[in-house]
Amino acid sequence: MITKNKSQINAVRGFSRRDLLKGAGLFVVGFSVSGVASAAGLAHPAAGAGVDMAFADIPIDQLDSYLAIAQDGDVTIFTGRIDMGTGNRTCFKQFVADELDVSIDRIEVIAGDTDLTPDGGKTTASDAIPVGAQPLRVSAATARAKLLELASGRLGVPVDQLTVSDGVVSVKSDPSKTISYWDLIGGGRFGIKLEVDRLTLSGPILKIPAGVTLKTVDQYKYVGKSVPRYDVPERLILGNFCQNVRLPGMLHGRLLRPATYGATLVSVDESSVKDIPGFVKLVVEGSFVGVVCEREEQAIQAQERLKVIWSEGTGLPGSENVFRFIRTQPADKRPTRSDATAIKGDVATALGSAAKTLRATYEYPWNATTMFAPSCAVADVQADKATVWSGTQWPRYTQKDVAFLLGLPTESVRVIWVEESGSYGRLGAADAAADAALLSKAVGKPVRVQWTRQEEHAWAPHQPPLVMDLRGGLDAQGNLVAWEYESWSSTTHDTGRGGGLLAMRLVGRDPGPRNTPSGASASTSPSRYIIPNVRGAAHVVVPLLRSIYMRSPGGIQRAFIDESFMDELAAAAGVDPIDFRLRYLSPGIEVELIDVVRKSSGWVTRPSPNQNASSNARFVTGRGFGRGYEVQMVVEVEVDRETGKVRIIQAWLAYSPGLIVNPDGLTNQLEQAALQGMSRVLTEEVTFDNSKVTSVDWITHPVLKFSETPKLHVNIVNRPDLPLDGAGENGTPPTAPAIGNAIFDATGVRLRRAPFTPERVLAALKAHDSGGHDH
Amino acid sequence: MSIVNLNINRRTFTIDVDPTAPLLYILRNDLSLNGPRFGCGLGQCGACTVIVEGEAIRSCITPVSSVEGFAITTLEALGTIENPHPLQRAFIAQQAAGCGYCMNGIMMTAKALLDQNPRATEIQIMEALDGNVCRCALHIRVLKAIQQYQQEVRA
Ligand code: FES
Ligand code: FES
Repeated sequence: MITKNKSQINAVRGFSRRDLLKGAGLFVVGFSVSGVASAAGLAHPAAGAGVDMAFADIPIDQLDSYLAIAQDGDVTIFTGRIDMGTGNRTCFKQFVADELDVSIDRIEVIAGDTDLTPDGGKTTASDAIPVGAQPLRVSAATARAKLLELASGRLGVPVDQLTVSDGVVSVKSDPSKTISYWDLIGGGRFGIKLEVDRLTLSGPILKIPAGVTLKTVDQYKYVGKSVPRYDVPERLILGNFCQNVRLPGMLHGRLLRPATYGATLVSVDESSVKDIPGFVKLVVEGSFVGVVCEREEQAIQAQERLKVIWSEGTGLPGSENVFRFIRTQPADKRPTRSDATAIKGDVATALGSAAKTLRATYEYPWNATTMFAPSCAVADVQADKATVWSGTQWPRYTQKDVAFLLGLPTESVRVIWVEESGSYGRLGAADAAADAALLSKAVGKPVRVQWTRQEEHAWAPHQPPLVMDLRGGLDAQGNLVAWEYESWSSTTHDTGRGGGLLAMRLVGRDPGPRNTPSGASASTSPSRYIIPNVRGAAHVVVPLLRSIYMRSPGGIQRAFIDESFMDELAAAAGVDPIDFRLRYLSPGIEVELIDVVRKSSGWVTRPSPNQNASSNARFVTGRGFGRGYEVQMVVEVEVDRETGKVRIIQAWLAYSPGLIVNPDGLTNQLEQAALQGMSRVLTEEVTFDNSKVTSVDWITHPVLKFSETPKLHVNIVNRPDLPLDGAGENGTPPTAPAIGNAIFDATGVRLRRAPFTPERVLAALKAHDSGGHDH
Repeated sequence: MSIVNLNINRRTFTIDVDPTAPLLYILRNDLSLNGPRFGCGLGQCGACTVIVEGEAIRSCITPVSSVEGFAITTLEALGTIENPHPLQRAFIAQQAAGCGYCMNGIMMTAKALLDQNPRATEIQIMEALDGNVCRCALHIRVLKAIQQYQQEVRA
């Protein structure tokens, strides 16, 4: 096996952290800090708390679960959170180095190994910094306090007479008197129980123990600096990906997927593949069909050659009809959530007496994460235990899912997260882990499963669409007096929180979602604007395809709709789009950031569309503003009126995550999120005909090309006084409205259906020229 | 199965394989050269790129027997963690990686282009990379890294 990952090395050596934390482990040296609780056998605070985190083997309330200091001075931090290429582990190191007062180079991170790391919930919601880092910060600060207490005893001076530099404690008045952390505890356990303040789906938030304080901003050495991601050289040079995990005697598996959506297996002809050299086994369970061969190319051949007959399938409405389809589905009809902007005032009267009313329908399609590396996993299933290597975003759920499918107790399954390609919100939707487990069980040997490109595009869970009808009313002075909406969408996670894996569905043993489904993409509109009269309804229907979150769940859709309609209202009022919005926003960071992006982009105050919109020139340009709730964005586009092609010339954005932990890392994340958002808005849509998904590769589902790269101006604002916020997804939502509004500014044509493909833009331009309706 | 001789990173390897098997799987599974990666198997994404006689090719759709006798270069020939190739150093300096899975293809495509044309313009570089997919959307960092490398080579 080729890897430098410590957790994998430990896995190979049979190192058990469970044993370690139970006191029988490798580096417990009989040292014990006074007055501590035993690590083993504690009542778990999560019991009965509603969130299932009761993995008492690596207790979430023990300092030792998060941090270990070795005799040689190595510091290891353990986190349940994984790093899908965002750099969160580097930020964890920055925090721990500062709280513990050690050099960052001493720190190693072990992430997402169910035998080694405490439950860190799901890696999603961009909350690695606000939530994921929190137990590590508290553990490190608590460890430092304890170590100073121990040093004080050993050096015979009070704690306030001590100072620490890179793990070496010295007496302020006599620097020759020193003792290091590793002399004090190297290889030993702290045995300190920490209190869980609350549990979130993204892991625990710990209480800061009495007598322990976290560092203040002025005390940080690493936090706030652009520390380069330590995993970047490895990713660029070695590429230690899950795809490289190779075990002795490992076989290669591939799957055969139903020919159409909802089809079931009728028959399969093993003789069609039996003569392939290296063929090992055909595995059939319900409609789950896989082939296992000795070599990868043999498995591919078997996958291509196997003769399978599928039943008819359940049919799909065709992606062009998807919005009509979801509108007519039986819905769980409910009023909007009771947010600040929920039902307010008297919309009917306000609209009835409005000087001007606008009506529009906006549509955002199915989107696919289309991970760059198709799903992959390796499983080694034995009679009474199993180990799975996977890029899952939620190792603890993948562990449960695999255990469920194998009929093993959860603790008999070990899931080891290994770096994989970016997954942008896939949660525990580690389909390949389940596939590999089933195949490995069937052949009694380790099996590596590699999905095809087409499988990934067609069968991975996708983010469902959103359609919204809106009505807005302006009074005689052009003030927005009423906003009414009705939306239809689907649940976003009928997979990914345990259950719902493709293999489960195909074998016919799906435990179903473990959490109550909700429709994140149907939330309240319009976010945060203060409008006197608001009324709305959101309908959430069962999704057509397997569904999941995708980077900024619901965010890009809602921003597209709210912020495009707001632009329509501003245009109808004849007011500058930013000025119009500012009338309805309360002062605060959001308004400050709008000001930043306004200045940085050189925004000229005037209503849209711009003057050249009515020109006959082939190329016209325009600018648009979009609020993405957290990120504010201005985009400049060029529209080719002959081809309908939209080119993004440049974009400006402004964001504050509160305290900036790593400026370059944050900027990089914002760039990526913004560019991925632009790609989604300009080209991406999951298409399907009446029986199957038809966007199945990079030709039928293109993404932003290098030649389409815009210039990007990122403004980040450090505001340590504000609560911490994440980086990974916030850059995505504002792209949709900013681009749509810029197209309107350039052409006078409003696009109400994403993505803005050349065909759609051209059709809208033509309809507009002939006096028809916008699209 | 038949015997195939491959000249990879200036070393000769003799393997007994199905001669029609794509080069990618031989490099990865038989020779543990993990630089080239599986991204699509269709020639659409570039993840599997290796350089054969100076040209960036897609090893996922290249039968292993067709490159017998040619000089094959994989990512492994560029640099190591301790001593990265200047191109890799530029990518590291610009932090040009999200997940990094696509970066083999991007760096190898860029290398083949710049070896032939060190003064390639930004437009030529972009066009050369249009056949590569980066789903994490590192476009900006990648272009900056390549520019930095070009400047360093020139200096
Ligand atoms: S894997 Fe060869 S081009 Fe995609
Ligand atoms: S860095 Fe993840 S696909 Fe390019």
